[in-house]
Amino acid sequence: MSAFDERWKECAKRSQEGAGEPVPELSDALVTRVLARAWAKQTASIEAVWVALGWRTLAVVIVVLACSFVLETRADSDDSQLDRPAVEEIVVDEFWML
Amino acid sequence: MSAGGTFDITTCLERVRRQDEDAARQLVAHVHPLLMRIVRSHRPGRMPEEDLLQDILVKMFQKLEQYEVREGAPFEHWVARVAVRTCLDALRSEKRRPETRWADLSEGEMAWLEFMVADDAACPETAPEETRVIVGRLLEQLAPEDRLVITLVDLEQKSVAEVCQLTGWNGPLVKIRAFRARRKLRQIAEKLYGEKNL
Repeated sequence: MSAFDERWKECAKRSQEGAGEPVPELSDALVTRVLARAWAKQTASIEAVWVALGWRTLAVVIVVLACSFVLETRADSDDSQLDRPAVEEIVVDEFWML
Repeated sequence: MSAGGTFDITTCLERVRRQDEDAARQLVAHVHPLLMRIVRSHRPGRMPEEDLLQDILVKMFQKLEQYEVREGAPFEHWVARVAVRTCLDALRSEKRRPETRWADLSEGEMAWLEFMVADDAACPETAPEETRVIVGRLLEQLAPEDRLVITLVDLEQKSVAEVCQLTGWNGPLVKIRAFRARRKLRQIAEKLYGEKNL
């Protein structure tokens, strides 16, 4: 430990002598403000999330489901047109899977 | 309060989670002395005590769902951690750190600074209040994390394990930060003392 560190620690120790000032009385107004802020925010945030996202989320889900249904139907009808992959492609795929 | 006069924190927390106002007031009264000690140690100079205390209490209520009653993890430890982190955020949000000049110091503060920096200076005999002022002036000029670690380790004499628990940092990080913070403190003190001869 350097000389500065030792002297700094001495200074820090002295500064703490009699440092325990009495704690001021807790004011009712402060607690009221705290509870108003803490609880109002929680309630508001849940409501706000539902109002802001509820209907939009529902609309997005419906659109995504509709698109998936259309794509799935098309894919089923096009299955017959799919060409069988060449043998060498299957072999190469299998090789890379090893 | 329970029948025996001791504070039943578990029951109180259950009631607070159901938004019982009386229980919430009891909880605030219970943690108030602890939070005031933390606020006084780590408050940015320009922020009123009550504003910082209010921010800490709001965070405590908002994060209460995250607290789990566990053996060896008292509620007071969890609240102290929330408080220290809120103080650190407040220190970080300070736009400018106050600057101190040699001419701003009282005679007692000058004597302490000389004692820290000059090899042949004797330990001054001043009132603790004067010592607190010079310590505060030096700490104000440190980065928020450095100030926090020095306050916890050197002023409050907390162990590395206690600092880890309060800050969420690991042991080596606490030691390295404390070491670097003291080095910066030395540079600040030397620079300030250097103004004596200007």
